[in-house]
Amino acid sequence: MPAKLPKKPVPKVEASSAPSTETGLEARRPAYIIVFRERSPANTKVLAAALDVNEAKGVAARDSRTILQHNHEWAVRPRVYERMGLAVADLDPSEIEELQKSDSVAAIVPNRERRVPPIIEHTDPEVAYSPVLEPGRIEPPVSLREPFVPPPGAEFAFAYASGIRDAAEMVLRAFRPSLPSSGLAAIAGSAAHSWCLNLIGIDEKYSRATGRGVRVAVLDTGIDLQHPDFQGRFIGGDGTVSFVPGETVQDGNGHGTHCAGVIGGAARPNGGRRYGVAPDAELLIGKVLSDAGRGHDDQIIEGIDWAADAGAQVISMSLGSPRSVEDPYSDPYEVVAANYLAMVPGTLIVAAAGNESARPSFTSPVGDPAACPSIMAVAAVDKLRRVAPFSCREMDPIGSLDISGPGVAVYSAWMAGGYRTISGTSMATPHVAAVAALFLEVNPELTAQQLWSRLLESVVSLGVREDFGAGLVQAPKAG
Amino acid sequence: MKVHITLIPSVRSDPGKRQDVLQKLLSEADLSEVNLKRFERHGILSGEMPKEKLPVAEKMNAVQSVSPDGVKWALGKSPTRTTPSSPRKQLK
Repeated sequence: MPAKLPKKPVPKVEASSAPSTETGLEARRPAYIIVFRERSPANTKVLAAALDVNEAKGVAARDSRTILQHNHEWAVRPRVYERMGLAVADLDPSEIEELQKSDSVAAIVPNRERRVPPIIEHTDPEVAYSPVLEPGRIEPPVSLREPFVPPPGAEFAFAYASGIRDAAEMVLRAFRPSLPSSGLAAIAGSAAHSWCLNLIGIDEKYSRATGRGVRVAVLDTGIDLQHPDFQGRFIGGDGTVSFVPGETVQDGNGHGTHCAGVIGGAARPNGGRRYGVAPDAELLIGKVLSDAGRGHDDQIIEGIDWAADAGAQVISMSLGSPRSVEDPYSDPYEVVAANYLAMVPGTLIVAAAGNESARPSFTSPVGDPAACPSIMAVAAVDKLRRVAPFSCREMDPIGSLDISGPGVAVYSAWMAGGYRTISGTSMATPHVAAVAALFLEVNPELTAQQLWSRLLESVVSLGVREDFGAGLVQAPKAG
Repeated sequence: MKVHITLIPSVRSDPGKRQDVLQKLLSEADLSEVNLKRFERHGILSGEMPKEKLPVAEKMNAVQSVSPDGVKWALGKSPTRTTPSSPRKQLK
């Protein structure tokens, strides 16, 4: 485990607590740069509408720059630079999605050192944030750096090219069945079995492990208590608890039901197709995110303590918040997770790495709390074992990726007794948590730390660790 | 504002030192509405603190970090990113 970081500064949450060279502006660097397609006064309205804020009148405004109101208490004031066609802001995932829908926005990139384009460095020092080079290090010429703004349509082209490649492979195999595998052949599902189960090696011929006798906690938006696939599956007594004020554990979002389904969906589900990795695991359901899909650290940490006290051997957390490169991980999560990981037998906490990348345009670092060294960070892959376009990357020594799981087009339970196919590192995380439960069933003596090691030793390597961690999680072959 | 105060490891494991820093935070950093649930087990104090007192708390030797209570989101791509139903404001 990496050494503890030096004492971190208190995050600045309001202008009054953040010294600045200009009245009303924080010195802290915003997390994102928004690149507009045109240099237009309308850019301000686009950003203001997406962030649901108004202009902050009189706050260090200039002819060429407009300051908006805080979009979050933790965020700096968004700034729009009309002459450059840029804006800077701290954004949450829903705001990023909202902006990406806008035709006016060409790209949203993390505000990182050394990736700020020269034109900004020399035009407006407020956006440049002095990309300081390490002593003796030579900055590569501009032409060798990663492109700043991707060509329009790049994402579509990427997906299109992948589709052509897959189709070509299928045609080739039709004529030449003996063709050696490229290693990228799609993993197929079936009417009875989700492709995700095949990808992670769930094969009843080789392993009968179903998570029996293992307690897994899902800290999320709750669960559809009436879903036929979960009947009789919850631990009695206080096995389902809501930490969200004013909301019961009944899932009004769907996300929590989906994640719980990946872990413990029935072996013979009502919908016919099996999607649950550990159908006999005992489920603890802690509702720590509201029906709107958000929750406070306080609730989540409370949920972790509750789950550990209730005997959870594995905790699955498909939640997080973005983190900028070199920003420290969250101390409270790390302390709690480290304590439970060090106990015997202990509790392993698994968390989603985050969905803030938009490959090939840009990648974002592993978010919080997955960035904590004592929490297993999970990346998402698709059925071709490629990293998911949205999956966060290991971009600094703080937020390392540990492992990957299926997270694109994942079929699982949904609200109102239904099913849905969705994507996210959220979906990859419960696959890892469930496989951990299988390992514990096969070897109940494993401590949380041994379980961590066992999971990483059993992976199928997929490529660079910055994208996949150790590799793709694999179910135990014995048991 | 709600904060989570993480104590340094040597204080976390010492009940006497924990109480000392708690008293200091109450008197010097105006910590209030203290949640002690995680104090003994993890050495984490949660409570309300005026913003201007954050640097006071952070400068204490026994304090490793002070973290404002943040927000986390469900990390499914769609359709879980539900946004508030209130209509978007327009610039005046």
